[in-house]
Amino acid sequence: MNNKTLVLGVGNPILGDDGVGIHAVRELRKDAGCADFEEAPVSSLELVEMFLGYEKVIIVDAVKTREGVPGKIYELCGEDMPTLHGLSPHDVDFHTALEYGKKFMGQMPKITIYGIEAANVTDFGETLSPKVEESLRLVIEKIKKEIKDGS
Amino acid sequence: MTEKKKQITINPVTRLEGHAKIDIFLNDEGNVEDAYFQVIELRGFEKFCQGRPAEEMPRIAPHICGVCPNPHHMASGKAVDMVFGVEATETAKKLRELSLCAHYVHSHIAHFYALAGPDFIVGPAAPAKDRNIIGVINKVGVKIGGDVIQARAYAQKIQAIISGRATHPINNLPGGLAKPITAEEQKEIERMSKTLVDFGKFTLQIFEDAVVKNKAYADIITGDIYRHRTYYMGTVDKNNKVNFYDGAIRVVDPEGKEYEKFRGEKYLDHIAEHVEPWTYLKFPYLKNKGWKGIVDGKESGVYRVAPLARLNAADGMATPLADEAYQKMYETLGGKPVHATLAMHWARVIEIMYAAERIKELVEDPQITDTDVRNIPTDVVGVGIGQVEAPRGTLFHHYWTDDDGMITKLNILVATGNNNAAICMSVKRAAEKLIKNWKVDDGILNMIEMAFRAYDPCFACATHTLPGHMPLEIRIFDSGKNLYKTISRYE
Repeated sequence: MNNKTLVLGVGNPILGDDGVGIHAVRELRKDAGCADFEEAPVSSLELVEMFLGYEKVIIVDAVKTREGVPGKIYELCGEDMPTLHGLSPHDVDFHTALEYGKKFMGQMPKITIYGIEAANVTDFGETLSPKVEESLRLVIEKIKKEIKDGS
Repeated sequence: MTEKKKQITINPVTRLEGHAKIDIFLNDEGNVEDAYFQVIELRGFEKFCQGRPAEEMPRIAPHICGVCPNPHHMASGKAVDMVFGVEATETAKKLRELSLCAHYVHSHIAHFYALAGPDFIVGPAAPAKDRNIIGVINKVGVKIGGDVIQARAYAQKIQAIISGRATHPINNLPGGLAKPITAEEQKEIERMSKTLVDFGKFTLQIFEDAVVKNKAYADIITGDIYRHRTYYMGTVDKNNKVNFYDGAIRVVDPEGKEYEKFRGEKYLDHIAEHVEPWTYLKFPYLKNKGWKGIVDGKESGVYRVAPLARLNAADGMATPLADEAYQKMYETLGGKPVHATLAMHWARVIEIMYAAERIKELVEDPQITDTDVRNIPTDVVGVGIGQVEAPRGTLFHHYWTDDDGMITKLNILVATGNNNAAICMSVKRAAEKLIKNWKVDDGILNMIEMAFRAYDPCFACATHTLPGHMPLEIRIFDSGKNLYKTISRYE
């Protein structure tokens, strides 16, 4: 860990649009500069445990809302959880995990979450659907700028 | 009646494509007729794998699930050993087992402190805001928060050292491993293993103080609501002690008598799968008993897997502290086998102890740093079956390949699949208790969650973490199949 900013791509890289976060970090780590980039196919507690030592964490993940339009981008902070799909019964929710982190790991970093509305999250495959792919490009540019500006 | 048939929806504002759905059907009197537990279907895994080299499977298979990637890596590793007609070296086997044990520590700690703890340490009647891992740690001591984090971090570190990555391991190859561990890594794991053993002892003590000595909780565990007399399956070593990585599969009957014992490769001779039209998840059953429906008892082929089943199917634990705890559990609960589903939580903490002791034992083995970690395969047999114990039960990977070792077909029987019928029974039992004459007690959500949470099920899910809650929805229908009430977890 050499940087103060961590970019985490959450999701399953072989489950269609669910892997959009993983696609993002694979792309970003090529040339986005001063940040650490991690693929995070993990769940809440483990995700929060990865925050340790960073000042800023940027998360990219797929979002699935009830009447969502595929490709829609959501920008949220850590306290402002959207309605995303799926969580294993093996884990706690993200709010609880964050509280756990605050209480037992000291200061939590500033958290920004980019959610991209997914079209397909139930068919195995390594490619993204076109609208999601399009939005991924936009999110990548936003994150590059965020890293560059140090904001 | 018209009013009763109205759909009542409790703020399903964030209800999405759920991974778990429960449909309950009532009879004319408004009592439970049937309960169906369904999970979302993920499609196309077999197609995704077809045409890929079999040796890639140990790296692909962990992505089936974000909860138990390590056991998929291990079962897949064993399956590809067989596909190429080669056994892993002794050191490779020990390292694989060591990594799997570290995964157990990581997985079971999360379950005990974050998921079981709210019910059994904070208490089912405590305010909702306290019924979480923070409430658990506040109750057992704030310092413990740091210990939990440290133990989980060590368990991840051990998996990363041996298997290349903590979450989605990559080190297994046909015939063993891509790399051995160094003397420095051995020392580091040895140091961490001592902390894990201490943490295991401590967790057993907490369980005893907070749960066993508390009559109210002990009564919940032993009460009849989640009690099912079933067969139990688990993997045992040559002394019939629990082993997670290898051995024979042993099945005991509801009286605790050995019913069958076979190698994982022979699973199709002993396990068959029943299909129901209302769910894509199949119902495995003991082939020689036959399918008698989703019912328990000695005549039914329904069996259970997961921690309690493993302990019931074995004669003890292979390490001293875990074995001591094992004996104590059966003495306290009135002998073997234990049918109380919620005793699964006790079995789980005993397994934390065993996994920690086994890590220490394996890492202190002088052979563990041998560089001979791979037998190079020279042949393609074309069929491979790998079986291990995942934290949530027995797991099978079965691959077929062409002459070049390319996957043509596969069958994966996951732990939660094995428990499918049992989970359905537990859900129905909870529903029967809490729905009487059209009156639906809202506490049903928690009771049903407690039922299936005991099994620590994995729904082959994606690994998303951002939704506030697992999207669980319970739908209740009247005898005319009209939706009567919907209860969602969301507020």
